[in-house]
Amino acid sequence: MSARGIHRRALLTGLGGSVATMAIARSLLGDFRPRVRPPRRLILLMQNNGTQQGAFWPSPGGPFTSPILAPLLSDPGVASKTTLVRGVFVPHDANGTNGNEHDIGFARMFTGAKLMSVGNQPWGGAASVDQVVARAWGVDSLALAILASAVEPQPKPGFDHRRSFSYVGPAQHKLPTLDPFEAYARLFSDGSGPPDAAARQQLLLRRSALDAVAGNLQEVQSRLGPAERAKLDVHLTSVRQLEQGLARSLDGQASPGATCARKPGVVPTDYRDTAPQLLLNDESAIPQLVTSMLDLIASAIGCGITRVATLQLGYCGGKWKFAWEGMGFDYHGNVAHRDTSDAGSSPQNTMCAVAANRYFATQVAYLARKLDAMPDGDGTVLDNTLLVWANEFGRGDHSLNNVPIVLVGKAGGGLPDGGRLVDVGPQTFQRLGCTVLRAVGLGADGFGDEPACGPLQGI
Amino acid sequence: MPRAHLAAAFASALVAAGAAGCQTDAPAASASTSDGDPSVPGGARRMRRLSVPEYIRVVSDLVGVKVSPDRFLPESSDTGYENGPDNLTVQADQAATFEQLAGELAKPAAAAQLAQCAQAGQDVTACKQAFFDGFATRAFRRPLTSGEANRLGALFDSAAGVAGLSGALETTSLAILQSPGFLYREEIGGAPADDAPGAVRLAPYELASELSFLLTGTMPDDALLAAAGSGSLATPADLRREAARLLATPAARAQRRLLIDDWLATSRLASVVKDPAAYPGFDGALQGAMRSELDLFYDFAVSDRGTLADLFGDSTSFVDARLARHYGSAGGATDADFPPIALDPGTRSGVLTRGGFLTVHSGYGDSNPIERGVFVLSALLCTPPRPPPPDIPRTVPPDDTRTTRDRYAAHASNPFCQGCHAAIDGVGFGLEQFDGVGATRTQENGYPVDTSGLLVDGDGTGAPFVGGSQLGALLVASPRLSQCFVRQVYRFALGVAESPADQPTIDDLSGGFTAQSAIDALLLDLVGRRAFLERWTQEAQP
Repeated sequence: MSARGIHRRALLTGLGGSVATMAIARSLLGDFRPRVRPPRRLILLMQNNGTQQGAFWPSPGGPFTSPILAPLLSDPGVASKTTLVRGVFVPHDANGTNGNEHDIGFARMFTGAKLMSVGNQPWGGAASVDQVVARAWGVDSLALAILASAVEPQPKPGFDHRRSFSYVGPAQHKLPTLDPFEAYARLFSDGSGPPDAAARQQLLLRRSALDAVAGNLQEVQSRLGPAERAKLDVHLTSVRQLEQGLARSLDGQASPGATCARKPGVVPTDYRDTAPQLLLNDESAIPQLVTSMLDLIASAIGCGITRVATLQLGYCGGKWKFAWEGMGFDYHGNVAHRDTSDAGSSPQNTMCAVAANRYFATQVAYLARKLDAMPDGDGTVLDNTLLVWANEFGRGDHSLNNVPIVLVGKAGGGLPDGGRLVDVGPQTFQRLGCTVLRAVGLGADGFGDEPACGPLQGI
Repeated sequence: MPRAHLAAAFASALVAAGAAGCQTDAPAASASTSDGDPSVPGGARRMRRLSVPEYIRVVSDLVGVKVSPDRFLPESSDTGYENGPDNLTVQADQAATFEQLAGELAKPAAAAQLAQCAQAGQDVTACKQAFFDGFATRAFRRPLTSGEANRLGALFDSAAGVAGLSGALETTSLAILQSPGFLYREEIGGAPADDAPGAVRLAPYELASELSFLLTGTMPDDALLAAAGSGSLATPADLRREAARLLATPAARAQRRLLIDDWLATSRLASVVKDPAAYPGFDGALQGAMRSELDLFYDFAVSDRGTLADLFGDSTSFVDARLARHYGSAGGATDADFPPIALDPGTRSGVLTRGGFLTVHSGYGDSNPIERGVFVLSALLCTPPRPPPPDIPRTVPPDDTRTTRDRYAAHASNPFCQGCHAAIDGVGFGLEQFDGVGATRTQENGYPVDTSGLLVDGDGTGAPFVGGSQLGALLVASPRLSQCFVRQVYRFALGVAESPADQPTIDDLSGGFTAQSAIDALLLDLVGRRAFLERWTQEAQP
């Protein structure tokens, strides 16, 4: 069968077991370093609607904390690995599309590119940095999102781009998984031991079928131009991942994380089959969904199932009601829009804005602490991870200045120690992408449409 | 639609197209066409992955199994339509879903083939041949390439060796149902178009799929595949002949409904939630009745009557007792039935006045005239207002001592706001007789509701109107509506948003098309155009 090449290629791209393979290769070459350095990981968290500026940044010369960030920075271990970057802005450029500031900040932040017009609607114009990194590392990212919304179960007509900040290519979303149970089943479900002869034969037949599928994909690819070839490359990569899954099953492993000691302690609720409205237009499960998603990310990263994960907290321009924070109205229109100055507007409004953003900080803290509790090489998983917490806005009244950027983790030495607020004045957002690429060990002079902007200054 | 009506409309569309094609100052690329078609190839060569609804319909036609849409990740469509939008890919989770479903579907597919072979008394070799000529060819919607036949043939043989004929059929079905020939519609083309450098003519089987998915939302039927195979699906006349046949099928009714449902964004009605405090009467029964009304009304307006004038102007509707009460209409409706009734034409003519449309196009707890205005201008007239400038107040505070309209009074008094809001509010305010779930109202917060509006035209002049019925009539009279619809049909048909290079196509299709034209005539016109028949070879279009 023609597709044996697939297996060989998969081996060469370094998926699964590659660390051990590389270690052997190094020792054959006479490199007898005692320890294999743990791999670097990347996690992106994307929030919408800006922060409350006055309550977000630590005061100059004061303690390294703030009303919003206290949940994150109150843990000295995590605080020492946290860098806050003030001054990042996104130029107000909709590139001729119907996009407003939400769309600009959301679709540009991690793609670094100009918005792409598809019938005047705004889309991300390039692969986002998480997908650039995932591709360079030869892994599939774990892409998760919580998109349930009572006020806006779907983005407004024509604004489907608001479903994902992560892009595999121009105007092509990396589709996030919305049901944590599905992700759990894929990554951590238990197996029933090694397959018997009949099951084994089934698995081998399935693998042969995939070989034929891959061959058919490559055949049609040869008739296409670069963009369409790339589209089918995404498909081909997916088929290769399926083949690896089957290889695992042949080894008696039901899922990549079936036997990992760090798998989530609780199996998430099966929302899709029991209460699909909780994934669509009923917000009452959002806090639980967020916890489940963070558990999945911590486990997937901690178990080495993937090295890249993303979590999107609501749609671009999302309209959560934050009932779990004691609110009960569309935050976007009723709170964020009215946060019209860094000092806040009415005390009541500021209180709500702080509560919502503090909620997000609490979630980041939860994830960071989990990662920091997992030993990894000489340190912890957090030490070898770059966790970026970003936002589509600086401030809720559509300000694209001072977008709060929080870098947690040391990226395996790719980032210096934290415990710092970096504030060297305005810097363009593409530098964040460049910083990410450099921190995870992929060199870059810039990112997106600023190929020479360099990394964030002051870090 | 009566066939004579359709034919007449089509003939007039052709006359208009021909006349436009004779213009001597047409662009060079257009002037070189031999058949007077000024349209340009419909984008670059591409692979259009089946959308989830298409996959579900195809699987139902091919294997006879109904797959739930809940099996799939929600996807993003960059055209807003589900007819093979160009941006769909197969990512890891989706490949896993397709593999799992293929496994489930391969069993009945193999069983059916096995039964056929047994009945025909075929041996393994003959059965294999019948399977490749039958199931595989139908699944790929074309004969297999030699590469595919070799690959799948080898798979069949090796599977037969370990799992017998049944296992071979199942394993090969498993591969077929995950293959690009099944999951994608190929628009790659073969021979270069002789009269247009840089363009290729799509292959007959590609055209068969393009036509079938456009008009029926699913794979080609046997007659269409036979036409492609026998060389009688090549000329514009061939395409139009087959299109006319398909347009008369029940699947075409459903497909027209789908086009309108996505265009008007009413396809999202089922997921809408309203603030129970503001709309305590809005429940599942009412939402379901609104859905039924829209389905029946769309069938009536765009399939039976068949024009935009009917869609935006007719007062016929279909309501059960619940919706009749909501509309404050007597009617003879019962709980179980949606008989046609005549609504008050002054209040509820056309889709803009119907509960389903208004429920989708309102806020969570209010009528949201701004959103309504933006939608009508953007989606129905293709003249989206500029996004609001930065640094303006984003939210008008709630105020239950005034009407919604009065809350936005600053838009009218501030010349800066007026630039855009004259047009936006002009439309939205004119629908203020309807609350956020489409019930009529004459008072809001104790004050009388003013439902007078202004439809601002491209040149800045405005046509005043009062209420949704009059707005519908103005849209019907405006060439902007029919031109915009042509643009929407282009996106729907081609699976891509038009680029500036496609303007000649849009203009020319719009030339003979008005709100009184048969929508089917537009479709028949389109399927014979270069835009439908050809693709650019380069991905970067000239």
